[in-house]
Amino acid sequence: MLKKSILLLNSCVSYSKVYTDEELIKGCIANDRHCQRALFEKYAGKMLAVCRRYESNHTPAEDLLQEGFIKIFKSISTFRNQGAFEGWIRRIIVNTALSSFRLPTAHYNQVDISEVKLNNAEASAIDRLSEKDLLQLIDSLPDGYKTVFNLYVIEGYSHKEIADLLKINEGTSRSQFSKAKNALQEKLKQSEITFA
Amino acid sequence: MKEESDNLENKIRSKLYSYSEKVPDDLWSKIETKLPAPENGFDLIRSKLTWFALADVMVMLLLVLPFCNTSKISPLSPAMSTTQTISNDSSSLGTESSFKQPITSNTNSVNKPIVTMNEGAKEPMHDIAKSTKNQVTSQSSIIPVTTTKSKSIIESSVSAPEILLSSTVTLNSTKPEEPVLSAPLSNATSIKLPSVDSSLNTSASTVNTKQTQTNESVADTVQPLPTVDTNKIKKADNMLLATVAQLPIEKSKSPKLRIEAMLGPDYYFFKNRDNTVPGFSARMDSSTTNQRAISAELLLSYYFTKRVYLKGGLSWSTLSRKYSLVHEQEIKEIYIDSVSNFYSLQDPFNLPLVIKNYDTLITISNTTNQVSSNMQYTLLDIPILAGYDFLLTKVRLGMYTGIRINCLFTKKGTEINPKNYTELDAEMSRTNYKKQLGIGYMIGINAAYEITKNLALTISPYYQTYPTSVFSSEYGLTQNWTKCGIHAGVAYFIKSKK
Repeated sequence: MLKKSILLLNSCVSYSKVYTDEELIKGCIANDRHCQRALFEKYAGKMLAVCRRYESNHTPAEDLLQEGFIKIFKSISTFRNQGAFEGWIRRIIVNTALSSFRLPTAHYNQVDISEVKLNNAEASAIDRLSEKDLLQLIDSLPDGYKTVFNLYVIEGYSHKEIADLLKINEGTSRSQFSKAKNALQEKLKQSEITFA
Repeated sequence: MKEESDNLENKIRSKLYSYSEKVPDDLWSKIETKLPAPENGFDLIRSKLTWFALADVMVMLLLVLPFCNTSKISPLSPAMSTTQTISNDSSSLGTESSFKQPITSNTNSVNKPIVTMNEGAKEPMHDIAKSTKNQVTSQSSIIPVTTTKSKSIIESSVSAPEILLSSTVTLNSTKPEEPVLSAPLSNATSIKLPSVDSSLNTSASTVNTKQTQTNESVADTVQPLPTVDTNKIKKADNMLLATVAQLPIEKSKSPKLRIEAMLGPDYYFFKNRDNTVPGFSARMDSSTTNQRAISAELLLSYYFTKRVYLKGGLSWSTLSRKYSLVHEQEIKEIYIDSVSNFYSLQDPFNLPLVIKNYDTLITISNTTNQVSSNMQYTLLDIPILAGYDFLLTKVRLGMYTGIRINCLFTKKGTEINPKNYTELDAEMSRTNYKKQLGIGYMIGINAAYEITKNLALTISPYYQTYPTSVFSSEYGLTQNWTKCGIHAGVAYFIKSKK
């Protein structure tokens, strides 16, 4: 116990030090401000990008990030070490973002799922696009499409999980994703023309 | 085609998953204001590490302090007192010499004969007087030769030949038949000599011995006196020492046992440990209110020395508390949504899916609930403590530390089951007794005010904790308990006969 305490003390002397996730978790559970700040600085950039993908007109990304981190610090003691810590943080941020706007079910109208055909030209267009441009492209999608697309493609949720999160059924999630891909394909084609 | 699509998705994912944006500088400060306050000094004090360290220091002090007891004074060394006054008749020396002059001795002169006042020299004062042609004055006006200047010479620890021996022995007594020697020997001891040889009367004089080559101004003021018979002074010195050596030094009786009965309120601190949080449920907040706790103790202390003791006994305490838990719970429900099914059925591509999930359409609702428990605990402790007392005039001020073997004796009420956050009837069974045993440690201070020789009123604030949790229940809701309190009561001292 003494060894653990010394380790914890040493780990929290300064937040300029590079912490391991384990050290950060212990420090944050102990409500240590340095560790909390270190955790924030380590993940805030990535999580702000996550928030940007889900931000709505009502809630800017910074507010979502702020709310999400407060939730993280308050519930960090419930982290089970059963998966990646970053994944756990991301899940909380995504949940926070989604809870800030619950789209009515009408936003997730189902459409025919025809397999979207993406060719090599579109794939190369993605390569050429910067992250920011790609985000702008996705952001230009309608809210329903965008949300499902982000959750499925970037966060790696399954359609069943998306359906649970958004309170829609799985089929709706699939159709939304299909529509999102179609729309994105169109936009990529346009950008390809621009590149050409 | 599917592979191509997956490839594209992977490309987008790899590009955006780790994408990071610049965070505004003021965002952390905004978050910080909404976070619970960080651990303050009190929390730091409460940390186990600190208290273990303090307990260690206490134990070390207990081991070391008995050997540092400076109150024992050898009766042969009355000169430990820094200022002494010896009075005797000075009538033969003149009418003006009836005041007392303190002998100023350096503290380094411990264990030296009473008249040896010079710091560096080994010889007694009168030897120096003899060997260095010192001047002995009989005029009282000369006595304040201990001028500021000459004092400074002594304090500067000059070598023996250069010492201005300004110490003055005034033997003065208003009753020649019964001269009184008043010599404060220690802080609390005053000795009255029964009688001193009357030859002192004849030889008594104000001795002002000095040897100075540097302080001519002082020397000029000293008038030469007839030489005093130093043998007589020497003889008087020896008699004084012999008499003082035979004096009994009063020792206060040290207590052997101390029986204490104490009662007082307690305040408990509860720290939640690792709680099982199944599924997505998360504990949001918890609090304890309506805490009522009191304890009573019967303690027996055994004194190894006047100050060091070992304490043991029995402590009974009771605690009632209301514990509230606010939690967020995601309730999964299984239902058939006809509207969803309708939409799903319209989608020919989702038809297999609809059939698959026809009976298991799942929705999740987030709810924030609050449950509370009202529990009453009874605890029995066996403290084993070591303590050290500081002795004041009528007060014993002590510190103690040690372990407490704790047993949760009874438990009644409703407890929260964290598996589903419902209230659970809790009644301790015999099988739980063993689990509830634990060893804690405590530290406290104790003040005892003696109202009679054997009886004292005591008050004792203390802090107690349980490094081994005694409340690790099978329900998974585990807490570390610490408590502080203040007890008051009476103590009875059984003192040794010597």
